[in-house]
Amino acid sequence: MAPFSEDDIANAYAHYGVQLQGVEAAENTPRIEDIILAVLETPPPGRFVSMLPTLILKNHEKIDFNYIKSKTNAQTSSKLGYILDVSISCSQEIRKLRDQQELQQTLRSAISNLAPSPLPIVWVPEKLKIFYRPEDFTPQEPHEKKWCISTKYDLETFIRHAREYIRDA
Amino acid sequence: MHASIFVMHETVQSQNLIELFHRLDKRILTRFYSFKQPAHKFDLIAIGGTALGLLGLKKQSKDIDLFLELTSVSKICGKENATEFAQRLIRFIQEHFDGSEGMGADVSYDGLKSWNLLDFEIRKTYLQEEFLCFNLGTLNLVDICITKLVRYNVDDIADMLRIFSQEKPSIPELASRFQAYLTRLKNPKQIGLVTQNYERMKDALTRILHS
Repeated sequence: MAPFSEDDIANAYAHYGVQLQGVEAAENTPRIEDIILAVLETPPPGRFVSMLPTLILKNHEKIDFNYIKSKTNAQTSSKLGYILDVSISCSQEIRKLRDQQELQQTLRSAISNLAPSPLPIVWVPEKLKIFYRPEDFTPQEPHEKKWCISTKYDLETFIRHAREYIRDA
Repeated sequence: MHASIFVMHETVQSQNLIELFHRLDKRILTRFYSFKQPAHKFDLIAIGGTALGLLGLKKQSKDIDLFLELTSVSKICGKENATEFAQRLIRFIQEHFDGSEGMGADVSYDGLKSWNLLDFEIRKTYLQEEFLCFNLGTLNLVDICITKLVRYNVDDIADMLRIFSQEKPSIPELASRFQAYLTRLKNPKQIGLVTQNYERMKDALTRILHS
């Protein structure tokens, strides 16, 4: 997978319905799975991590989770499990869909075989880490504790960000 | 039966922000002043992400956050109490940004969220853009960082990084502004938390200055 710049990722988010940085969706957008992998590996500063559940919920039908899982390593695999788990929680709070059961089943199925990391993982943009102390990265939220990950986002933030893009009717 | 629709959340790109303010300007002139424009303009100071958007440090702005300077209002309110005039003006601005422009506005005259800024001399820079009814400015970048110390979430920190990539204040300047703001916390119980976050921000700036 070719590395993507912050703009590449922002363009792709816009293409897949999550406009984050006022950029227009570009042509030749990379496949969504590769964008998700890029954010799992090295998220740029910005709302890329906190908007990942929204990206997943909006595009779950077209995402090949097996492809993503085949490309993950121990760390990104745990991050994927964490973000899918968070996505399920977001969907429970936000979506009132006829196919909600199907959606959650898809996500639960994708989580299978994914395991929490044995060592704590800090999933925060590299450039932002200097604003924290090591002790700040202790997993806090139930999802973080379950997957042994620190994102510095709480579930309410993921839900709030998703609500900005998803409306129940 | 419920259906769920995904909406394209509208965000205003920075280059369109100025245009939004021009539309607000015309509306204030025609509707709020009924074309009877006072001799003086009031000061409208963009804060947070709105300020960064206007300064080109952020590509988009989700909401418009503004601070209306009460001292500037006292010159135009006539016989009306300045606070009441400010409240009326704020209601008008918030109703203007009712979502039809793609975003809402948070406007206040007494402070910024956790900070009481009544009679406090904020540092600001006026934009060169001319408006009929107001002077549009942005809160000083260092002050913006300090106002973010209460929440200090990942998005706030990303904004701080943007600011420090543009402007690198000295540590004494940062400390001086922090001390000035610290007396303005609405909830004194937050002093410990804010001080803790300040130390983190200061350490980050120190590393940036030495890199």
